[in-house]
Amino acid sequence: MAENDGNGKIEKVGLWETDDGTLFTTQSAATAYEEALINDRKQAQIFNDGKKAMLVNSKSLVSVNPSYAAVSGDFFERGGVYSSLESMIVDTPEETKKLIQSINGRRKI
Amino acid sequence: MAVKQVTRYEATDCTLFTDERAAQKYQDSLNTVGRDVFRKETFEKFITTQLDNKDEGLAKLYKRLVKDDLTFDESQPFFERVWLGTIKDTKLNQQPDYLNMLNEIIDEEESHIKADGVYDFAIGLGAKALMTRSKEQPYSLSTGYDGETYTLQASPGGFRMTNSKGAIGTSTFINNRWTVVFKEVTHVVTWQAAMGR
Repeated sequence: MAENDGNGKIEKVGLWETDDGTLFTTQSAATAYEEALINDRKQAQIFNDGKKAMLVNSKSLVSVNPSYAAVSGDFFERGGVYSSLESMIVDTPEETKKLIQSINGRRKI
Repeated sequence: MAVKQVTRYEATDCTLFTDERAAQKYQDSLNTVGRDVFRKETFEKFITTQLDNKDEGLAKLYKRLVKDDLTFDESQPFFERVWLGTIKDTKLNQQPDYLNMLNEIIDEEESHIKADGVYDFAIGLGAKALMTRSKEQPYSLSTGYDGETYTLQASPGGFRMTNSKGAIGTSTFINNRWTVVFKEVTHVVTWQAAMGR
């Protein structure tokens, strides 16, 4: 920034603004940022869809094996995450496989 | 006094029974124990691998898990992290690793055969025969039973049993054992890891 000697004037500048209001001086930088934003939104959507499937389907499996309550954090013992995971793998592997597959929407439980 | 011939049913641990149903029940209990041990060992092996994970964050997470240091309110984030990964770093998504482990457990009949080692195989009530896996070659065994010679080949994926006339039996895996059917004859194939060899 130039030193203001008392005669400073405003200058019209061309900038590039992205969807979230961030400003860039070059189009390429703005485009790269915008693409990253879109990718982040897609990833967030995938994550949220997977999370929803994981929670809903794990709750429906609690009647098969109470350990599935741990998946949604909905159990009331301190710790016990290891033993819950072990039980899901050792006692009901078929259901656990279906649950994990359902996260990607491959198969409904 | 003349000796007399008797029939007994032998479980894979060599216990003898006079009643077939009792023998089967006992064998089923042996199979259940064997299956549970196999599953637990597979799970523990998986966790051990995670403890050595190259991703420091994951390794720490599994260390806390093993120490039972993950509280219940951290339970959901744990599963989110290992089954979903994170938005920024999807390499942490361990769905494929878990699915591989579960496939190994669910297809345990295949995994038993995949395991390196020495196995005792038996066809029907025939004598047990020792089979050793040789590199990637299938286990192979020929044995006489009921006046016929059968050849059994076991490889990753299943069994193939043929009789001396070259007929191939149709095999089905039920309750931890293979049932192999030839035209009019049904054989049950059992196996177990040979202990102490």
